[in-house]
Amino acid sequence: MFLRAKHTVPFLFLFLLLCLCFLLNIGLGSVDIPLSEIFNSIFGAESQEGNTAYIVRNYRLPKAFTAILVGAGLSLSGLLMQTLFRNPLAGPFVLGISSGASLGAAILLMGGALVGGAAATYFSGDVALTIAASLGSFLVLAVVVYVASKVRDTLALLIIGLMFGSLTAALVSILSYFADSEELQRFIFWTFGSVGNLSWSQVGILSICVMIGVLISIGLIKTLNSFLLGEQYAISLGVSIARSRFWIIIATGILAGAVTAFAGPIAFIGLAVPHLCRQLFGSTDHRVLLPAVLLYGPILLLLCDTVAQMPSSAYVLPINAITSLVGAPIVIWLLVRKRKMIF
Amino acid sequence: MQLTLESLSIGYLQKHEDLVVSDGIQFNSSAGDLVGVIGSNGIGKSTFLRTLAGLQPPLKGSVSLDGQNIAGLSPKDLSRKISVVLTDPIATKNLTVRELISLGRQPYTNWLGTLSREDLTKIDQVLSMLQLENIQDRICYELSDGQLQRVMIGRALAQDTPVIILDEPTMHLDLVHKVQLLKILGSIASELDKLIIFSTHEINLAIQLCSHLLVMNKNGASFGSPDALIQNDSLQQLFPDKEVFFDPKSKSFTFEAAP
Repeated sequence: MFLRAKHTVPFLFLFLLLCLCFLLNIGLGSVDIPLSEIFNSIFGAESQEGNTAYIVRNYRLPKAFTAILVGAGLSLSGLLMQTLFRNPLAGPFVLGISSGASLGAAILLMGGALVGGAAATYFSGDVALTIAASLGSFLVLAVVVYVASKVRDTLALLIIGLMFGSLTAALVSILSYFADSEELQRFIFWTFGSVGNLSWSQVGILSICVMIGVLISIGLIKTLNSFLLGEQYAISLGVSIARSRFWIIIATGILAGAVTAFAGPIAFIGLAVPHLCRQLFGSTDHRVLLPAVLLYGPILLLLCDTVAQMPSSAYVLPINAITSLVGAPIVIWLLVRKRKMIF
Repeated sequence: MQLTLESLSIGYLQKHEDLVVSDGIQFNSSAGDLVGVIGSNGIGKSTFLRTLAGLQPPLKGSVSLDGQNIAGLSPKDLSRKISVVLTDPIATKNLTVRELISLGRQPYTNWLGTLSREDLTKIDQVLSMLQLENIQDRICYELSDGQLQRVMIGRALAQDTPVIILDEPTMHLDLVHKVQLLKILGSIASELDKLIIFSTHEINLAIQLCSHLLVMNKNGASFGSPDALIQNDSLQQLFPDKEVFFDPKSKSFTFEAAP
């Protein structure tokens, strides 16, 4: 209904920007690799097995793909939450969903002290980490949704989300107190957030999860648009609220849970990107916003990751710090510019 | 099209004892009627309208359209029969007038919500009928209360249902806009042959403009044409505390000036 020619230009712009950021992200790293060699490594003959090709194929490419998946997943889950709660400040991080995932991960990584070391090491594979983090985010999400149905006040909901964040943080710190140093280190590194260090098979698992989330969301586009009017109007337009809410939660839980499991809790992307897209496209139609956040989120995360790896140096900064440094000012800027944040 | 209420009891289901808001509401109304629902604050007008629209279940009794109980209709079928304009503000006002009205076509669009040629024609008709063409690209948060209320009515009209239910559509409007709005409702009812049911505190206007009234008070609800309700004293009993009283000669409520 609102898909018009005026949206073609921003979409084209975002797509080109994404390609550019992708190349930039692969091109810049601790070792300088000229662009021509990168192309050779990606598209070149299989026989070419130099150091450069190895770095590009097994380190930089999976990292760039992870950044794309993480950016897309977090932004989409942010969009879903903002529409579900009809609250411009909702996002996977603010409502405690990421904290829930952290708790799941913490129990898995550090719970060894509680349940016995052997079981923990046996279960601490990647799939187990994904499942634990997803379960944690589902749990918090389910409680938040339950509370949301009791309190109509959106401000109260945000405070409750913050309280859940503190609650899970407290549980995590108790776990860390009893964990041994090796487990603790593993968990702390996980909380810094990182899109690197994923093998191709891990990227595969993550992309399947993100794909499932995206597919469910595409099926929800019409419902999400009716939610723009509020729940009562949505019902009168023939929408089954309970069913839609269920699927939105499933999609959000899978997206935020899987992303947080692999990349750690990454702040602000989920909150900021939907707003940036509304700003850019001047639309709240989910048929425009859904593809838009899937392009914009990856761009932002690729850029943040490029900064985080501090080109030409051996240092890698925690990406969570970079996204907060970028994201928090964006949110403040949006608030100041529009005075009132509308969604 | 015929709307029938049979010994309808409205209220809220509660753990121990149901909270009955109003009991034994009964009436029969058909396409082309403009029905005003009047009663003092807290008497249950909104609860009644929400029950009528199928947004909450009745405690007892039934609401039927052409003999079919709306409780048996699927959400999708119901959305093609009854549309609503509620008092709660819409969740986002960051939509253009045209986009907001287009959302009324959802019961007819495909899974992605693509508008067909027919949908577009319908939206254009609504825009011209409510004289919203010149503001169709404005964003809703820029609109005045009166304009926004007309847009919300437009959204309900675009839903193309035989019954339209409005909860206090005249709230926040000045006298001129109140009269304009009620006249628009009257012409929609008669020209497009729709049944319009709305609640209002503008009793004097409702008496003049509505074809039927439902008067809700503590003892129950009475339904009829304004003249019939004046004859059988229902309007006189609307406010029992004698602060204001009904004057049958002027067909309006009035009050004693301070001595």
